[in-house]
Amino acid sequence: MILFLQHALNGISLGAVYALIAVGITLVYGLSRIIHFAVGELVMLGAYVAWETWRLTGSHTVGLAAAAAVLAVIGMITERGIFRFTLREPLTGFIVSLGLIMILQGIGIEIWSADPRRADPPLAGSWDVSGLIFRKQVAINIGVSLLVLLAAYAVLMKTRYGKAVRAVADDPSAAALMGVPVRFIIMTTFIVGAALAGVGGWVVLTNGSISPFVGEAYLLRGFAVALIGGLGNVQGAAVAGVGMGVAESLAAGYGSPGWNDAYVFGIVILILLWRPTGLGRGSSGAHL
Amino acid sequence: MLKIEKLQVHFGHVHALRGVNLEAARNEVLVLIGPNGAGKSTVLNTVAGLNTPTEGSVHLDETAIGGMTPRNVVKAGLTLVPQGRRLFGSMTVRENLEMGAYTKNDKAKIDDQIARWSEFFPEIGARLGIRASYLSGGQQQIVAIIRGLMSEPRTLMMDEPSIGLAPVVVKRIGVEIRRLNREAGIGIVLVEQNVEFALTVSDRVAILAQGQVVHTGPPRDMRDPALLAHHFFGSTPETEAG
Amino acid sequence: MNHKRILLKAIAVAALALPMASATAQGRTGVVKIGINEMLSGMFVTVGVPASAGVRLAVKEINDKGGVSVGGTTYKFEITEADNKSSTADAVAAMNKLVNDDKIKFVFGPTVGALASQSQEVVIPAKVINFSAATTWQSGGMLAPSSKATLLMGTQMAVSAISTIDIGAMKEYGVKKVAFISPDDETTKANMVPFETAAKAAGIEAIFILHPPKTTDYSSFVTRAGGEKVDGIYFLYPQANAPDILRAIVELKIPIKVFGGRALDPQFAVKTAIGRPLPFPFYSTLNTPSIDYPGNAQVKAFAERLRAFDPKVVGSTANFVFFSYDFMHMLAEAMKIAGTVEDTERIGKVLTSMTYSGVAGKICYNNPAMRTASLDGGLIYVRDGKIEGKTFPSSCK
Repeated sequence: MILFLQHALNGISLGAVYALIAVGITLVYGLSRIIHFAVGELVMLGAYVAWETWRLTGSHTVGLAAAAAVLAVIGMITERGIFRFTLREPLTGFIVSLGLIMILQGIGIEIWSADPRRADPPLAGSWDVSGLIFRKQVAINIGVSLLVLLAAYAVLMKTRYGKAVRAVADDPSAAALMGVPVRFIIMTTFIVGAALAGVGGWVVLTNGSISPFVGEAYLLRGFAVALIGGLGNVQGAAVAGVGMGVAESLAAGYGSPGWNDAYVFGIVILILLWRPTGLGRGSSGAHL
Repeated sequence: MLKIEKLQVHFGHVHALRGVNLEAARNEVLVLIGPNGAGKSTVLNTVAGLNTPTEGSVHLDETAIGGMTPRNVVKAGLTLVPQGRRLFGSMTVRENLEMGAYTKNDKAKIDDQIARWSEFFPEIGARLGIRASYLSGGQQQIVAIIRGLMSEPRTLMMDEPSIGLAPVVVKRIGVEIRRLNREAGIGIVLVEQNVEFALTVSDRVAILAQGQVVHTGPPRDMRDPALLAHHFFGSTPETEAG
Repeated sequence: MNHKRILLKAIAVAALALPMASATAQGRTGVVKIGINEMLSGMFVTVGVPASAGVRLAVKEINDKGGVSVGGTTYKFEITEADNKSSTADAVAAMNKLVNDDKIKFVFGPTVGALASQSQEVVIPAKVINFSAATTWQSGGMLAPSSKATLLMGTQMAVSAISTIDIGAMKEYGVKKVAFISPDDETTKANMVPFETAAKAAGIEAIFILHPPKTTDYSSFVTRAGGEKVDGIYFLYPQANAPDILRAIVELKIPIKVFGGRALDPQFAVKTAIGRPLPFPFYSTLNTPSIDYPGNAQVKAFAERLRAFDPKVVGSTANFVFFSYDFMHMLAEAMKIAGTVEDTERIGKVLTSMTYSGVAGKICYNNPAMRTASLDGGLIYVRDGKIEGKTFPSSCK
């Protein structure tokens, strides 16, 4: 029993990171319908920015701030420079994001080489709670993720800006007619989405080693989680993220080794066949 | 109030508006009718800023608003209630109304407005906290109209406000529209397919066909079969009845 | 009177010179050319530099001692070195030049499998003796008894031999059940079988926990090992991720007696993510003795000689020098025993039947399954933050 709980706990910690990355995806995709596949590489860049900052300053807190800030700037540059021209053609945006993956990964390898890098974790060690081991890292994964999710929820539900975001996600033309600056709102979601990817990258760094290829795994899982949770649905992303993490952990713990990905994505496919718009209530997406 | 001159709009290769000329005064309710595909919604959408004119101009009380963003058009005092109600389904009725007042900042005033409309339409007042998608069609239409009014426009445009509604509801909406114009002094431009409704509510009608205004005149012109047949290509069920 | 003195002096000089002249006429000398085809630049430079240094140092030592005497002639060795720039195309071109243009009969390298599996096409028809540690020779069947390439000499010990070292260390710590944790791919599969065989022979139960290739979070897999109640964990690769799995094992408090891995940097066990050395012993196996942590005086002395000879041979691949150093000496010995420097088939037969005592212990080709050498292996232990090297003796008699 305790073994099962341990696996479940490992899974919640893992899933929290997936949920965190999925929140940025679900907001951007939910709003603009642009499949921003380069989000995995944004997470990777966030991890490296956090690493370099930690190397320079020795502080992980500064690293976190730097990762969010630098990625926010990158988000703005890609939106203003590239994606805003693709809003009427989301397919073009998707193809552009594929190109971005190559470019960003190439930049990563060029600057930092393919060898893995590592930072001293901010919280190492663990707490033993009657046989169930809580790695202190779990506090970071779950804590940061929870903070971000709660903040996203609060902003979306309680603030004027958040309501504008939801309105644009629901019906951008109608929102425009209310005087909502739709293009501006979309730009800000790109920026926020990128900043969230940066935070995700920082969390990835605290978990272990990073390489320019670390983005790929998180991209797939992030999108799967966003889709299952319903696009634009923050609570859905949270639940789906944790669910995926637990499923993956249980598959690793009890299933045939090497089949983990097959189990997890098999479940994803089944769920999406059953409910294509996701288990949660999602938005219909913006079409401009 | 509203002056549209030689307005042209293209959607790719489709020449949707081919030089529309139209004027509306603040003290009247103007109804725009015409066959399907004539471009009636396009006229409203372009004035509201959702489309950019290829040529021509739109003036609202001497201000040129052609080509402005929808946000600036609302700030200039003109609001469109779009076709099909288009409420934000995931939000409550109150949140929808608040969205209507997005260009306004006075929270107390907004709450006050909502309170007044709730008194006026008690069945809406009773459902402020309900998700908008749970309301009946007629209730949604009323919410859509109030939402448009939340921006305190001096000119209100509505695209087919009677569609899909029960006759008794349609009647009530007609009464409210005339009141808004006569008592609140809000200029109204409607697009309508329902000729009966258009007759009761309008002071003047304009017929739009093939991207141009081909006739303007008093409401009784709509009872003239020859006139209608001339401008509408093929008869429609309404003209047969009227 | 002067003429007589000059004549006497001339006779004296001639008398002295004559014996020397006849002595020189009796001792013939010769030159044997040795080729090196290695990655001296490019992606695999860290592999090629030590392998090349091994040949060069051995040749220098042989020549300094006067060369090798074979059938009445004293031969010195002359090296022709080619940089294949870590490129397969260049490796094949270099081999062509060495073998077909320069007519060299003894070549070392390329050490990297991808290159060697192409360059071998050049050496086989020319009946050239080619030494290399390339793993593709082992996995591709080039060294099998049935193979027609009888003059390819593998210099890296067989995987089964490394597994014996791995399991030997596990047994030393009294491990009864070991978890082998590795990515689910071909490299792992190639290593699983000999590991399991060696474990069975030692009476240890081995379970295999394979994970998706790009994993960096080992929590689930390590927890699973703990759930299976293993008392030893073995980590095959990727070496750079060892700190991640070590952190998971330590933080999740998996109670193991020892952690072992293949060619791991012992610093991983000294400076860990938790800021303290590991709470359990750690070992790393090498398929040669270690240069950085020599296990005996002989290797230590050699390491010093090597550093003085070529300061460029440093780092975690310095031990690749053993893929060529002793083998060059062994080749010279084999020529002597065979009595020829031309007949490569005869020399080859001698090589595969002799035992040579080198710095890397007793070296011989005693593996019945393939023509790859047995030599000493290396074990680096880390206990309580202290690093200690040992050699694991080869199976040659």
